[in-house]
Amino acid sequence: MESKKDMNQILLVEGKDDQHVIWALCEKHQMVENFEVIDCKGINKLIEQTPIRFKTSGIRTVGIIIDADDQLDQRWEKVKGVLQSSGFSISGSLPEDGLIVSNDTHKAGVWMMPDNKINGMLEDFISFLIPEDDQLLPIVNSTLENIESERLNRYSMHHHAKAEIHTWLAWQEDPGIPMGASITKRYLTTEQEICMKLIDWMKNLFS
Amino acid sequence: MLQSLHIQNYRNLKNFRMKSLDQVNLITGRNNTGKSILLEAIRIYASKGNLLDLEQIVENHGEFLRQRDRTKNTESDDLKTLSSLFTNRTIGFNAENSILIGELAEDIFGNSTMPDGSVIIQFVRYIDETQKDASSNLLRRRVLIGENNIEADRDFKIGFKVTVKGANSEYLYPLDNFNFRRFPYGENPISDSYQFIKTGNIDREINGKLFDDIALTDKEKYVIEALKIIEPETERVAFIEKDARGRRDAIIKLKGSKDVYPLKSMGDGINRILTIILALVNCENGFLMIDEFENGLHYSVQEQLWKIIFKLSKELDIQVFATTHSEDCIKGFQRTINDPQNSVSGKLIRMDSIDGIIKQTQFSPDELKIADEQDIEVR
Repeated sequence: MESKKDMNQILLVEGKDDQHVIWALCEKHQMVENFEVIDCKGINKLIEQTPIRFKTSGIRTVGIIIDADDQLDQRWEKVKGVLQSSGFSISGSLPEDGLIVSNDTHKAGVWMMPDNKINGMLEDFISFLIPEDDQLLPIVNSTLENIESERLNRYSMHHHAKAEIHTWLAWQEDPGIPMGASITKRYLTTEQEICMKLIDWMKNLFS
Repeated sequence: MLQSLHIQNYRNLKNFRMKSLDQVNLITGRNNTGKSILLEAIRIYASKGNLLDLEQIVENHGEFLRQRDRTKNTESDDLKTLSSLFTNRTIGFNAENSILIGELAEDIFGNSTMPDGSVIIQFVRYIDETQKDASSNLLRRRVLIGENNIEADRDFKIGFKVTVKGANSEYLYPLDNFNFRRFPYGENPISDSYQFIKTGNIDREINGKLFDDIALTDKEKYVIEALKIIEPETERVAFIEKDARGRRDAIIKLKGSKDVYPLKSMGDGINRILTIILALVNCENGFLMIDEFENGLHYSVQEQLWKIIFKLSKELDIQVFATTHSEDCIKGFQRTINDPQNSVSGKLIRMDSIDGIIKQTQFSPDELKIADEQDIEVR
C-alpha cells in the first residue's frame, strides 16, 4: 500500500513494524484504503505531533496506536491530555474496544497495544495471533524460560514478548520474516477476537 | 500594533476573527482562501480607509470601471466599482452590510464592539436639505439610517462613507460626483506608516523615493546589510535618473571595483530584497505587508532575509504580515523564530475555506519546529 498524499484520515503508529502489521491486517480483511498509516519513529514523536496533525489542512480523522509498555495508565492519561487540548471531551479510562471520539470538526481514535487492557506492546498483540495448536510456541517458551532462569537472556524482561515472537518467527519457513509479512504469509491467524476488535476499531474510526 | 483582528464584509472575509497576532505573522493557505485579501484589509486599516489606497486595491483587482472619458463615469459605474470591496458585492445600506476592519473586542455580554481605530466603510442614502434661516440658507446633509427609513417620496442620494472609530473622522463621498482622487473636506485622518509589497513586485517605482528618505541615515546601513545576503561585496547603492520622465533605477557599487552596475543586471533576487528592505525601513512604528514573500528569492536566501526582517521589526517597531505558498519560506521562518538569539514573537497562520467560510489555524513556534522536523505539512 502506497502512502497517499492528501488523505484526510491518518493513523499514527510508533514504528515500521506497526505500520507493516496494520497494512497486512487491512489487506487481509480487505479494508477500504481510506486512511494513511504514518510511522512517527517513536512514541515521543508520535505524542508530540498529534496536536499538530489535527491542525493540518483538511484533516478529518486522526487515529493513534501506541504501546502500553509497562505504564498503561500513565500513557492513557498523557494521550487523554493531548486529545483534550485538541478539543475533545474525554473522561474515564480507555474503553476495551479502543477509543473513538468526535467533536464538531474532527474524529480521534486511540488503541493501546496489545488490547487496551493490559501492559504490553505490538509483539504481545502478535503473539496472540499465533495459532492455538502451534507446536513451536511451547518450545519457544520453554527455551526462553530456560535462558531466563539461567540469566543468560540479554534482553530485559520488559522485552520478553519481543524475544518470544522474534524467536518464533526465526523458526518459520522463511526465518526472520518481519511481523507484517508473517500475517500476509498466513503464519499468523487474524480471526482471533483481539484482532477482530482492532479491525472493528479501525473500520469504525475511518468509516 | 494590531493585537487581534476582526474583519467583516470585506471581500471573501465575511466574518473573520483572529484572537491574537504577533510582531511577525506569516500567512499561508490554498488559493482563494483570502491571504491577499487579509493583507489588503490591514492596509485599509493602516491607511484609515484612505481613498487612494482603495483606488489601488480595486485597480489591482481589475475592478476599476472607468470610462475613457472621465466625465462620462456614471454613478452606477462607481457604485459597481466600490461594491467589489464588499462580500458578494452587496450594495446594502444597513450597519450589517458595512465593512468593518479593526481589533477584536467584546463587551461583557459577548457582543462584538468596535475599538478605536476600527475602519468602517459603507454605502449610505442621504438627503440634502435646505433650511431657511432669517439671514441665509443652511444646507443640511442627513444620512438615512436603516432600510426601513427610506422616505419613499423623498429624493435620496447615495454616498460612500468612511469612518474611523474614535478618530472623530467621518467622510461621506457623494456618488453622483465621485472621484477617488477627490479629497474630502477637512483633513484626512493621519494614517499609520505602512508599506505594501504586491505579488511579483520585484521592483517598485517608489523605491527611489524610499531610498531618498533614508539616505545617509542608519537605515541605509540596513539596506546594504540586506543586499549582502545575495551580493556579499555590496558597498553602496544609489538611485540615478534613467529617463526624461524622472524614473530612477538603482545602481550598485561592489568592493574592489571602480565601476557601478545597474542593480537590474544582477537578477530578480537582489532587486526583490532591495524592494523589501526599502519598504521595511520606511514603515517605522507601522505595518509592512508582503504578498508572496518568496517571489524571486532562492530558498537559501529566505532564511537570511527573515533574520533581518525579525531584527528590524523589533528595532523599528514594525508589525509584519507576509503571505507564502512556499515550504522553504516557512522553514526559513521557523528556523529564524526558533533561533536562540531571536526575541521577536511570530506565528504561522493558515487560512482555509470551509464551505465558503474562511477559517484560520495558528501554529506556534514550537509547533512549527515539530512540523518541520517531522515533515508535517502545515500549508
